[in-house]
Amino acid sequence: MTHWADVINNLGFLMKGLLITLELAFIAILGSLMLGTFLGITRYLRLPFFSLISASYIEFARSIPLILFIVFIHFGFLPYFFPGTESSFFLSSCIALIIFTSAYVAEIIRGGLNSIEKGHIDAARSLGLSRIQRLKHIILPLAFQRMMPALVSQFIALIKDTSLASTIGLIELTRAGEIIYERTYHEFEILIFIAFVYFIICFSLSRLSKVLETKPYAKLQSM
Amino acid sequence: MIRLENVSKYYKNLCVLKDINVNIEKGNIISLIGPSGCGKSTFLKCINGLTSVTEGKIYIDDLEITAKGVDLNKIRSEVGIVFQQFNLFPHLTVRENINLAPVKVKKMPKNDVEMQTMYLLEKVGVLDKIDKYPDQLSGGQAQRVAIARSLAMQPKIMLFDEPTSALDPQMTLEVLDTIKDLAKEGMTMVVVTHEMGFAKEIADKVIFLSRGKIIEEGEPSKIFDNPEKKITEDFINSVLKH
Repeated sequence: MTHWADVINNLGFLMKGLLITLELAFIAILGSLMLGTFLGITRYLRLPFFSLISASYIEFARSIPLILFIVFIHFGFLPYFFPGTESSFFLSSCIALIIFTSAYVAEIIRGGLNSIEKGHIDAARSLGLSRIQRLKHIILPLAFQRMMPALVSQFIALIKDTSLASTIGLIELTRAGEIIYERTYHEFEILIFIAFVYFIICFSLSRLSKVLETKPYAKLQSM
Repeated sequence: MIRLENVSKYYKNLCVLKDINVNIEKGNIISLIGPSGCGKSTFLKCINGLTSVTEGKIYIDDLEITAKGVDLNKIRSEVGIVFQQFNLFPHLTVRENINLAPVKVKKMPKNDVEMQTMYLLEKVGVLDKIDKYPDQLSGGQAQRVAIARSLAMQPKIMLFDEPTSALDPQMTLEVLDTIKDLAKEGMTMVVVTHEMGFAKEIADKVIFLSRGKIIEEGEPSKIFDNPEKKITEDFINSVLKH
């Protein structure tokens, strides 16, 4: 006796959860990409004061479990600093994911920037390009190509990490599933279905990064 | 035109250049020879400010470039350098590689830059590759594009850091011919090379460098055929044997 009907009957509810998952992932990816790029570049440029701040932030954010960030921001930080306003599950999860992931993104960006051959940088310097021009026209475009695979796998991790938001009660895909089987006690089919949905999203992203990764420069022009 | 006065360069405690005094006149072609690790590349990098000197002064047209507060980006744009490994930007086409600095640094009008790029590519004989990416070029073609890229900044002097060491004999000839053409036009050049025949043919002066010091300098015929120092003779014999 299987209970796939549970999935079909609750498909609308599950899809609403999926939408929240995707929205959360999308905003957190954008946010952590922006914050991470900023932090990574400050460290790469070794700007005296900012570099130290960035380094401390990165070490801090990487050394604490994500779930603690989510719970703390939702039940500790936001109510403490913004008393009276009701904390939104979505906002708390989003902030926590951005803080956590941007630290990893920063390290990927820094590593990518550092991986550029000295020869290319010397060539750019010898042509008289300023530091900012070198970064904009040579170093960032070259580094970005190399960082793609690492960035994509970080964002795949982020998509899966959004499921931790279920712990504070955000009704994203995982929590939506939980709500259904807490009522029906038929965990098996629901969990298989949810796993399948995560798999499809993450696997497609990973394939996309493979395509971008293996494209040589010459082939890019025909894209 | 270019004057190095008592230039020394240390990396921590390692001495790479020791008390170098050189005077390069306009239109001169200097050939720099010496065993690997003797400081030839560092010599070139000091002249265009890619690396700083520890002691001494360097003048370009009576402007001291080793002084504090000098606009190094401007100096670099007036001194062209061609590297052993070409160092073309792999994400840009040949055209974009050459256009980049004249547009961004010199702020030349886009049309003028395009015209100049075509002219330079024609001159070095790779105009047909204008829209290719560096990884679609042979080594010889890539190096000639690199030369065109440096020339696009209309430099006062060109530095060549072993421009043919990464090339096979056929491609070496192509690149050497391009450099010879520049020599005929009166370009001031410093060429680090292991091509002794080439050095002999085009250089006004040969400088032999060993362990960061100038051991001997003079006309090519003197250095190659009648070196005064034993160490110079040994080096030249060892290179010619290969």
